Amino acid sequence: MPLIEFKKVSKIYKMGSERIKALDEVSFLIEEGDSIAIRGSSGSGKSTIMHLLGFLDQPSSGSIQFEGTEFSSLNSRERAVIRSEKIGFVFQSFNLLPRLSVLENTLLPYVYQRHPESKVLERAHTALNKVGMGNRLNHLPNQLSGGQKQRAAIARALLNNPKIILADEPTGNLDSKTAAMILEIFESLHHEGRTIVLVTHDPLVAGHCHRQMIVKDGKIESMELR
Amino acid sequence: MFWCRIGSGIREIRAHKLRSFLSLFCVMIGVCSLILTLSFMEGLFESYSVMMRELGGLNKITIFNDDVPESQRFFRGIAPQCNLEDVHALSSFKPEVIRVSPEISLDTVITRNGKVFRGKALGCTPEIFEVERVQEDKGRLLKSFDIESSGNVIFLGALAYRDLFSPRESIEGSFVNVNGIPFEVVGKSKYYKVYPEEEEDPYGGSLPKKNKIVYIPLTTVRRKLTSKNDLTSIQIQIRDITQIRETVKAIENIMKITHKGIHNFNIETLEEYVRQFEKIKKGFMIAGFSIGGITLVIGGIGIMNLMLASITERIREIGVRKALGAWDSDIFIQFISESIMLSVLGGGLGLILSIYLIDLLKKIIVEYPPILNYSTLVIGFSFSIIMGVLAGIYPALKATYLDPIEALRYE
Ligand SMILES: Nc1ncnc2c1ncn2[C@@H]1O[C@H](COP(=O)(O)OP(=O)(O)O)[C@@H](O)[C@H]1O
Ligand SMILES: [Mg+2]
Repeated sequence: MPLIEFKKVSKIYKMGSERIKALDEVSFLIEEGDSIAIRGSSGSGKSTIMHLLGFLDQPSSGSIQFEGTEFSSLNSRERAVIRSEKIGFVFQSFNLLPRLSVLENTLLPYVYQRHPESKVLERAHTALNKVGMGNRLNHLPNQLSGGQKQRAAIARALLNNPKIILADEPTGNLDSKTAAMILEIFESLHHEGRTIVLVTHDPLVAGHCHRQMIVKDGKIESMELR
Repeated sequence: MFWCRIGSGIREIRAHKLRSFLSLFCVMIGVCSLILTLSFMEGLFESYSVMMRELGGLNKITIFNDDVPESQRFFRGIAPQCNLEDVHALSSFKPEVIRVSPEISLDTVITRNGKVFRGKALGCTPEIFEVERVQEDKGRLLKSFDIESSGNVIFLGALAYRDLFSPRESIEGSFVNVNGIPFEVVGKSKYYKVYPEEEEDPYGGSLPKKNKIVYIPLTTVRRKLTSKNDLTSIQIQIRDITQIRETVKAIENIMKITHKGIHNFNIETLEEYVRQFEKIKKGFMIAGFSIGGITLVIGGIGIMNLMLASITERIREIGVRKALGAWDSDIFIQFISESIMLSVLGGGLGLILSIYLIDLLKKIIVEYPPILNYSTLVIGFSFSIIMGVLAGIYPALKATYLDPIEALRYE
């Protein structure tokens, strides 16, 4: 069974009387352990795909299945539970909560775990060590550099040990050297066996991934194996 | 964990000190003004009920002599004044009538060692001390044997004592002259505060002022101080206050019989007075709760404003929390608890402020000082919490129904 399956998924945004077709009958599979880079020009629909993958948004038509469970059969709470247990998000603009320390930000997913697992502090420390932030536990986000913020954000995404990590332009706000280090982290996560989907503009980055999906005008232009 | 869930709200409050202070201030003033108004009303009502008690309570009925009505003017010659026959007849109306107190009121000049007191002397029986609730401070009250022996004894009101004696002087074995006749002082009454001495006649003339009066046995007055045999008034203590109307009717009938059908008397109760006060009290309650309510609403608006501003600033936070698996109810609880936190904080400050203010006002205001009840504090605090909930609902719902995509897209 694939981890995620999109079947003829369309997404239409309505803005007043205008209808914007952000995705047009997109179909693809993601297997467990995959790593996929999504590329495409701005406005092509990459973020829309990420939101749908992450159960943050609902398709206008078509079917999305997560481990065989149909998206439309779940209510908003069940979707939230899947987000909390199976999915880790990494954003372009980091999205750390400004009033919480690095450690507290990392612990945030635990707050919304419905079946809290034990040893959460240990897990948080492991995750922070993995991204090289083990020595910045009590810093506030505004005391960190961009690269450090993104490391903390990745640690937060890892806390609940998700099956899949979704990263929408995680290096978009970083200089190339820092970006390379962040990508190394993703690569090592992939080697651990985690499924990774990341949106990027950089063909070099995409080269690190198993597969490359090129999106254009809401359609998949090509899906190529490296 | 606490900090991750709602603690960020506390840090948010601390991060915007001025803004938070302003809305906390609104709540504080609101709670404080509510508690102050309620405490002032409490003080007023308390003074009132003390006064009612010292006036003899509601179960007191007073009968006065009155003019013969115009329609009965031909009977003027034969119309009797209030007299002991009335007292006798009224006393036998059991069990509704508990005790009857006949009274003759006289203007007197009382002297002692060159000191003078001008005031009312009341020829009375021991019943009056029960009906009017007069208590001795020194010595004793008049007893029935004083009446039987028509002794030259006198019981002084507090003001008479003050005018005739030096401060703290003993009354033991002392005499005063009433209209030139010597009387032995057997006791003096407590001072009753609810009768302000400078006020001439605050209760429409129907009620004697306990501090100013001196008490002399009825029999002594009739024998030695006045030629008239008639009573000035009769006071009656009744059993059941809820039956007061029926009892008044019955008393009127008894009086008509003893007065040969002539209606030359007047029956007064405190009922009308009480009804008046109840009306005033209701007015005060409405005014008090309105003032407190309005200021609290202002406090609520302050909180709502703060919450709305805070949510606009933290739109991404809401998006992130939803992406990490927060349920709608988690978001709602988070923001409603922030709102409640603010109102509890403001309410708590308001409580402290009002406790201090009332303490201070108690020292400044002598008449009708505010009284702070535990229950008033509870009311004030619960109001602030209710307000926190109400003010928080709209902002919290707004946060709850925020589309996470929009929230995350928001740059
Ligand atoms: N909430 C929205 N309302 C209206 N149009 C939207 C909304 N989100 C995205 N779009 C439109 O959908 C298209 C795809 O957007 P997006 O997936 O964000 O592109 P990308 O991430 O590839 O730059 C764009 O034309 C964009 O303007
Ligand atoms: Mg995008």
